[in-house]
Amino acid sequence: MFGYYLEIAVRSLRRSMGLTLLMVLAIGFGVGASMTAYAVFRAVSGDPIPWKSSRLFVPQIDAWGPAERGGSGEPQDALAYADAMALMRDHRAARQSAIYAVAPSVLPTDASRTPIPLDGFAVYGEFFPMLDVPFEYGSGWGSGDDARGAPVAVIGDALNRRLFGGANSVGRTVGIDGRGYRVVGVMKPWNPQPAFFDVVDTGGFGGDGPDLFLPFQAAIAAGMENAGSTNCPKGGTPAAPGFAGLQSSACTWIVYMAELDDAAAVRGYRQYLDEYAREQQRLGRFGWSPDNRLRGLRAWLDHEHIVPDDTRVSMLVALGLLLVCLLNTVGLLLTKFLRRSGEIGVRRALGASRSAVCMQFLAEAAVIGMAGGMLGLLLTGFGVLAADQVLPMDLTGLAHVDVSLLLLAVAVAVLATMLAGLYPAIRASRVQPAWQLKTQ
Amino acid sequence: MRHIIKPLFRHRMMPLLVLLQVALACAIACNALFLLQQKLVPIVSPDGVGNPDRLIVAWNIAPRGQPWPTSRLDQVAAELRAIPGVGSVSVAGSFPMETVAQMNGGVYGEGAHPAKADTAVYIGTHLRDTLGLKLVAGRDFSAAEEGVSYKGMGLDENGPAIITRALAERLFPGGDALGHVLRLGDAADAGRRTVVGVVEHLMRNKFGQDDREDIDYSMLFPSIPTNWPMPIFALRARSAAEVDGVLKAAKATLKRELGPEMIQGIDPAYEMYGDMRERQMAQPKAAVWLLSGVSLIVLLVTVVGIMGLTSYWVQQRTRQIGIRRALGARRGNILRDVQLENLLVVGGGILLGMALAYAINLWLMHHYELARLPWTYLPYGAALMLLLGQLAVLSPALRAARVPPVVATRSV
Repeated sequence: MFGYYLEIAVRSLRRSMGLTLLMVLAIGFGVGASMTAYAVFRAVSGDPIPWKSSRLFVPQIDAWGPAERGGSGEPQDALAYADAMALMRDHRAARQSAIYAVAPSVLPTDASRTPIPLDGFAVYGEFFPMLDVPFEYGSGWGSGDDARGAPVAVIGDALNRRLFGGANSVGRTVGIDGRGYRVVGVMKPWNPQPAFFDVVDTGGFGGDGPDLFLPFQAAIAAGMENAGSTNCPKGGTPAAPGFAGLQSSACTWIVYMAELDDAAAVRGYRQYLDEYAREQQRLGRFGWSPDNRLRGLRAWLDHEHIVPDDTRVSMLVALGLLLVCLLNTVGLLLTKFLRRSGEIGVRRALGASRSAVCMQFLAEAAVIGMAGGMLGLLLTGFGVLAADQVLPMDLTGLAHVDVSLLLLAVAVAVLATMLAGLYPAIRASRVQPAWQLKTQ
Repeated sequence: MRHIIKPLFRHRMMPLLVLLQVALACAIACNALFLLQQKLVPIVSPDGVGNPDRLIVAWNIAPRGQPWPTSRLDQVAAELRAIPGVGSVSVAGSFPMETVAQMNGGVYGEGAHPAKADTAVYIGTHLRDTLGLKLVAGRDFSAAEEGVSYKGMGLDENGPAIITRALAERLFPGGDALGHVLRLGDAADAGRRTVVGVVEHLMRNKFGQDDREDIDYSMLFPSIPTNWPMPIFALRARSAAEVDGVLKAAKATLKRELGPEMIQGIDPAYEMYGDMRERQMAQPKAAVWLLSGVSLIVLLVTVVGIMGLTSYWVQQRTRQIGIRRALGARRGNILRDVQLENLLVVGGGILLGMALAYAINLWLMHHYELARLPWTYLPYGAALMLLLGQLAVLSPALRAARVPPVVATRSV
């Protein structure tokens, strides 16, 4: 029966080509625009670690007091050295790591001997299991290496290729800023977008992924300066110069991430943060009562405005366009169906039930939706290509067309058109056969 | 009038659909056009730079270790100045159309309730000359002013400044800005700068939701910024014919002078100012395309929708129209009635749409950093929608007017 409905639908649509074409165009443009915007939005708003994001948290400690807060009234995004170290020492979460960006260079052993600049991070050993960093060879380092500030390193896949031709380099030594570090692990290609472990310094997108991870204390001991952002309170510029001065200052430059496995642990950690801040208040370091935050990873990415406003707004604009197109389709379908009141009357008089008439018209709407979806697919393809051309540099290549997007485009087109066709179809099925037959 | 309004309520669905379509189209088009106009501002505003095809900019120059001392940069600038065909050379900390380093801040005028403007600052030597800015009042920085070495960026220190005419009018309204003093921030110990010159235009390098005024809020400070890690060199060639030679010589000079002290693997970028401008404008241009496309489709789709619905409704009432004609109504009466009916429905849609447009704008303002929709958009939007509505209804109305009185007598 359904096949028959489809056949009738195609015939009827052929009969009024102009109107059909208009509806197909409307739906095609609506779907094409909204899917293009969605592809870009999906690329930048995706969860970089969906299986674990609900258990990762970023603490913020109000280290500067209420007078230093901007208009948002939020405490600083990063931690001061003293606070980060205290949190690491207390070790209240299941896993945790203080993180700061470093930019050392490595001297390759090949003939060129030109130093290669690296994007790296100084972290604690728990960083790797906490974020499920994938390893090709070896693994991260242990807590003993953390405590000693041992000269060990985890290197990225690209750097391993560059230095060791992609071989298992665990146990070999790399010369970084003039010091030897023993390789304990080689990562598989790992470049989560956004770079959620340090959005404060990376801004979220772009780059080829981290080349290098070093133990936090080893990097501090080597005097490897912070390559990320540093913020200091007004009048709170470091008393002593240089990196040592930064460490003893109230300036914030360390990102912190903790793994908390259940609601009780989250509650406990929140309490602990407040206790810590109260303790600092008692000691006279903070002259204000605690105002801390503990945000889950998704909330944190949101707080850091990782998705550009422009992307969200264009998504909304495109959705608005889809809505206009659908409303238009409702109107056009209604006129199209009701123009055939005579035909409906005959069918009803010959014994077709109301639901059969309704189904027939819904099938017609679905055919239009299908055609609109096909056009929408085509336009989405062009749209994503065009978006890649015009997006800012660090977002280029993120938006792409894949099977799920194609299916979604067709599904949205068909479902939306059927939804739009629902009222017209019901209305058509209510046509009184007697009236229609009489007027003819 | 009654015979037009009453049927609208009797057959609610058709007019309601038209009304909803108009309302939604109106709300979306108003907001999209407003966003479009904002994106257009940097594209159509003058940036003040004279002869952009002769301006060469070298940026992304990263020193290994400590920043170069200003004396060293000055010496390199002197070498660049010696290249034949070079008219003027600048060493700067930030530059128009270069967004890697932006210096922006609130700047205040004088008096008890000073005017405030979010202003971009360009710090560097001989910038007015190199950028080819047109001085409309006052003077350029003197050689002594260019030679001063400020602590750090000099943002907290007193000295001279050259500002744009738009900024002068904003901070010192209704008067001559020359000789007046502006404050860099609201702190008591904020730096104070005396205005020595006013230039016609200079676009800032932080684009946001600007209008034609505040995109021109910029100023120049003299001298090379101290301890600045990413210096920018800009060279103006004397004539377009000499640009290629100057570019080649500048590359060679910078490579010879600073190359050995740069970070390996980070290469300096050499660009013509016109190309930098093109690059910065790519994104707003894309947004303009998107938004104008969306607005156009929304309006087209709405016109088509109104046309479809009205022509069906007219067809439905063929007999009724025939009766009215038979009872003595003229063609003009029928035409006017259909048009008036459309006017009422579209007018209702516009009222609803304006409220909706405003609500959407408020919501966007709350959630995203967007400006308020100026109310001047509303009458323009309303007029446009009314016009489109009348356009859409013209063909169905004419068809209605052509209905002969004789249909009244048929098959009743």
